[in-house]
Amino acid sequence: MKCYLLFFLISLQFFSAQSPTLQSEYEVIYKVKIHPDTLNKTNVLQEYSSLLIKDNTSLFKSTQKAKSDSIALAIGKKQWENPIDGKIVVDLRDVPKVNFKDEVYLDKGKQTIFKELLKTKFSYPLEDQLGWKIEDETKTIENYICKKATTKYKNRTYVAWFSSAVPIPDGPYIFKNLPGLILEVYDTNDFLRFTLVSLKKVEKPILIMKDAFSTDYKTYKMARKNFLDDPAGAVSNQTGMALSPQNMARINENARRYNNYFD
Amino acid sequence: MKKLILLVSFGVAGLVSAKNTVEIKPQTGEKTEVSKMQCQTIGILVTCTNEILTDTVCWGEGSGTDIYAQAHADHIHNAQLLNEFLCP
Repeated sequence: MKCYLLFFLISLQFFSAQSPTLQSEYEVIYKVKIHPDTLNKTNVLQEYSSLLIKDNTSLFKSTQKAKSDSIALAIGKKQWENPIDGKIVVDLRDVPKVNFKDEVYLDKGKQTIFKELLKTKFSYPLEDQLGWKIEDETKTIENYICKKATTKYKNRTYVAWFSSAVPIPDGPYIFKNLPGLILEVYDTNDFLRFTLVSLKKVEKPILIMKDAFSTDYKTYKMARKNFLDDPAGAVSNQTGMALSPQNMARINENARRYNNYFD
Repeated sequence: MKKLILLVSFGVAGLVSAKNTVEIKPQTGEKTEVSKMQCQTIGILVTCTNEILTDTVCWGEGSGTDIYAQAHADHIHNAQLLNEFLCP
C-alpha cells in the first residue's frame, strides 16, 4: 500500500511540474543605481528591474537582461548571415548593457538568489533572513506615505521606505517581509539603491533562470573568489579564446575594479 | 482500493510521459542536423577599442556542439562576455 501511495505521489509531482507558467498579477519597476567601484562614487551604473508578483510568489530581475540577450542573438544572427567581404564580424555595439544580473525568486516565504558568473549560473537560498526595525519617520514617495525601516545585511545597514497602503510584503532584490510594499531601499553609503518607478497590474510569465547550479552561498562565494584570482584566465578558458597579454591585463584590471559586492 | 490507486498512478505517469515526448524535427532552412564537423572563423569587435578578436566556431560531430544554432548562440555569448570584461 505504501509503495502505491509513494508512486502516486511521485506521479502527482511530475504532473504538477507540467502545470502552466505562473502569471504575475502586479509588476513593480524599480530603478537600480550601483557604484561598481565603492572607492569611486563618480562611476554610477543605472538600469531598470522588474518585480513580478502573484500572491506569495515573486520574481525580481533586470528588465534589460532578456532584451539584451535577444537583441544580441538577433544582431549576431544577421551579422553571421551577411558577411562583409567574406568576413563575419560580430559587433554588439547596439546591445544594451546589463549591470544587475542577480535574480531573486520568492516562493512561500523562501528566497532563492540566482547569480551568473561568466557562463555558469548559480542558485542558492537566502541564508540570513532580514530582521527589520520599523521606525516612526515617514516620507512621501510617488504619492504614497511611507514608513522607514532599517536592517543589517552582510555588514551593511539598509534603509527601506515601505507603504502600508500597498499591502504587498515584497520589495526589490532580497528586501522583503515588511507590512507593505518597499518603494525605496538603499544602503547608508548609497552604494546600492532601488527606487520605485511604477506599480501596475500586469500579467507576465514568472520565469526563473534556467540551468542554474543549485548550491549554497559559500560555494558561490568560493567560485567568485577563484574567478577573481585569475579573471582573464577564466574568461579565456570559458570562451575558448587565446587573449593577448594587453587584453588579459585589461580584463584583470576591470574585473578587480568592481568591488561593490552586496551579497 | 490498491488496484484503483495503481491504475490512477499509471494513468497519471502515462499522461506525463506522453507530454514529455517531444518530436525533434529539423527546421527548414536551419542547419540543425548533427553532421560532419564544420568550422568558421569569426571576428568579435571589442567595442571600446575597435580591436577585432578572432574566434573559431565549430559545430557538428566531434566539436562538442551538435548544431549550428547552438554554436551561434555560444559565439554570441563569448562576444558578450568579452565586451563585458574588456569594456565594462
